Amino acid sequence: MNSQLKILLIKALKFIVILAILDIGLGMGVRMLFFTQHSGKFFRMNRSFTKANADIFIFGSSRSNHHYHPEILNDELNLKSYNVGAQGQQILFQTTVQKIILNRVKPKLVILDVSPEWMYKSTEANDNLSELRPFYFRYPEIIGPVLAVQSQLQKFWLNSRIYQYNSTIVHIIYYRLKPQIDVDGYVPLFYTMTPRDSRSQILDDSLKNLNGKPKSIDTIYENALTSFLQNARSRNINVVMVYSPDYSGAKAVGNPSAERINAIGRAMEIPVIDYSDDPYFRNHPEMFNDIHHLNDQGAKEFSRQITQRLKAYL
Amino acid sequence: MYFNTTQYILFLPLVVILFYLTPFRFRWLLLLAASYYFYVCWRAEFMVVIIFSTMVNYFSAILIARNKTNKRNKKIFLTIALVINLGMLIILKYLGFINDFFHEIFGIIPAPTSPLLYLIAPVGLSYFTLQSLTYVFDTYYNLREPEKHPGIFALYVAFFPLILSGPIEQSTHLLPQFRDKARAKLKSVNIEEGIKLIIWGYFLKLVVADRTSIYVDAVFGNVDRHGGITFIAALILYSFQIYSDFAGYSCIAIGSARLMGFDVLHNFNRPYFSQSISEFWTRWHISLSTWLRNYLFNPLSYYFMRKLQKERYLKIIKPELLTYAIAASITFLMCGIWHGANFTFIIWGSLHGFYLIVDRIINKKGGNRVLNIIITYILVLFAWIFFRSENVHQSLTVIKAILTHPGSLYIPFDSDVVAPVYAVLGIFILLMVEVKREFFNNSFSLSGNKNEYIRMASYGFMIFLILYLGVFDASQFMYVKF
Repeated sequence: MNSQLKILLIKALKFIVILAILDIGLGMGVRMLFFTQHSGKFFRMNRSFTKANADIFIFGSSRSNHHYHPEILNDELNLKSYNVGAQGQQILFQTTVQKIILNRVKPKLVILDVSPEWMYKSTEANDNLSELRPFYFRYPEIIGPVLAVQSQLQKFWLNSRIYQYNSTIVHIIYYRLKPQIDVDGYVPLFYTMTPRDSRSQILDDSLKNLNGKPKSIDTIYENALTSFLQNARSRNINVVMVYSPDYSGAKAVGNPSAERINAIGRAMEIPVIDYSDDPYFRNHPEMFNDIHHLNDQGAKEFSRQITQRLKAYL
Repeated sequence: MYFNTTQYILFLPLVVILFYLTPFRFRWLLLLAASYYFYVCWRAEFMVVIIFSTMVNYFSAILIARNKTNKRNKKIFLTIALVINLGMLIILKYLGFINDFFHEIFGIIPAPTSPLLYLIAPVGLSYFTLQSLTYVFDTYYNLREPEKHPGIFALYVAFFPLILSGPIEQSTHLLPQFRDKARAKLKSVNIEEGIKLIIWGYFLKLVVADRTSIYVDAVFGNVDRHGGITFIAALILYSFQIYSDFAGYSCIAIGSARLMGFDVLHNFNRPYFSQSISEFWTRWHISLSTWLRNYLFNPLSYYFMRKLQKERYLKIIKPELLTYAIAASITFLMCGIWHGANFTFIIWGSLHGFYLIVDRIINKKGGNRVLNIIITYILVLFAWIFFRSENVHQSLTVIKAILTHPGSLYIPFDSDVVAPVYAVLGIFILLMVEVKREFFNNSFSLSGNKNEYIRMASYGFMIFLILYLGVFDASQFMYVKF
């Protein structure tokens, strides 16, 4: 064998061993750091995967996270509820999280807080699925196929323990220094939006829509929604879809994405409760933190109102 | 395929292994096939342009060489090559801009409607055009014999590590390497050096550039909402973004070539430690500044020097200074235009030309090193305002805000709350490495340590940082669009 090739192979072998040691050693360190968090979104995700047990589970994006106050639901319905809402996450994420949770517990009711835009293709939604990476080693058969939506080659990278915890360290440090208030998953927002805030945010949204590409429906998301609903149904768990309030009344009818959500709901006989254009909340800045999120006052009011509607499905 | 995709990470080792398994006489063919495949991954139609460019320059150089003694014919063939190369660049990259310019300024041509005016410029066009022209010029100036082997010349034009964003190689430097059998032997030192450069390149791109871009894009995407302090913060981050993005790309390109034994020109040498603007241009985008110096600035200086020496008003201004001023202004105007069809680039280039002239007039030597570095950095930072802005109006809005409306520092409070922190962390690591290399080069080094295990552990730790802190969304390299 060529002497240079021999030197190279020995060097490569040494480097691979060093890399493996570093990946395993440092990987153990970052994993420990990750799973000893006591606050923040990753902590809430871990708790909902491993510990949370409730009669009502609420799934959804940040809107779900900030809109449903479990203590109010508990008091009004006399049932324990838990909020699994996660910032920036859409239906693919919800379906994955639901599968993991329902493998462990059997609630009476599952609420899916849907957004009218959820069926549109979204790179951002797919990118945000990365937040599932730290849990891949525990649920590879559930999380693996979902991460493949980002890239078929994700599996290659997920062999690295360190990569599974990519972009988590600052979050961990941030919420260790500044713990986030959370009540059974619910994260309250305390700012009260001013009419000026609302005007500028509505303008920003309109500009984004104007400059954005034409939106198209993604069948992967349609299938994910169907799967979410079927998964609960097959376990005899009631499901309700809710459009929660929006400051400017983001209507749940009239846009193709919302129409698809509603059609899937109708086909599977899933009730849909629509608060998206509810006059009680619409154009009431005192109830909102920003145009898409209720503040704590608004969330409490909405939670009181929704419990009355939910009684029919329990 | 970008360098920061998993496809490239699988493609490169495969090519390197095949390269060393292939007999030397067929290696050019393997590399050419790999380079064309790499290029076709963007758009198959682009191949037409690259093949056309290769043929034009290949035959031009042969015809120039055949007319070595016939100056007139030699000049004609050079002119034809120049017209075709630059014509291609103008048609594919600048036609829409030129049309818009004449329409808006003079109203002498109708409003642009034809999509032909806005053809998509093939990726790497600006780079492989300059690299091909280098070869034609070198043949014209008798610095080299024309390459007879069309395959090897085609490889010089399309060599995959360099085709997208350079470094723009010199024909006298790169072309002979494709024929150098001794160089092509497998050497572990080349593999290690290549891997080291590639790892550092990925760190710069994924940990520094892509992190800083989140904040910078948020600020420059909404210029009406921010104050001067936010713009200064965004500009500082942008200075690191553009440096890390391009230097990262260059390191990956140079490292990829080194894996196969090729020695490619370095493109960056810690430019933000420059003590003057003229020094900055010996450290920033070195391959482009070398090209501009050799093929534009020097001929222009020579031309104007001859013309201006006879002029009477030069009793007031020294002819050397006036020559320098004219040549520098034209060179940097062209440098700006080369970067893109936008007035912002023209202003950016002209500003650097102006800085160089002032630098020459002041001709200050010595002084406090740190102060010189800071002043040079501020001047560069100011010019980046134009480079980053979408249009001149946006640049002026930013400058106005910096001068009149400091405001408060923008900190994103949504899901990106942690992004700027990652950016600062990445910049901190980058600065530690660069300060060490610039000021304490002879001190203890991890990546350059004599102990093999320490060296390897340092590469491994760098990989750890990339995997732990990097952004893995395969975003575009900024200089690919130029």
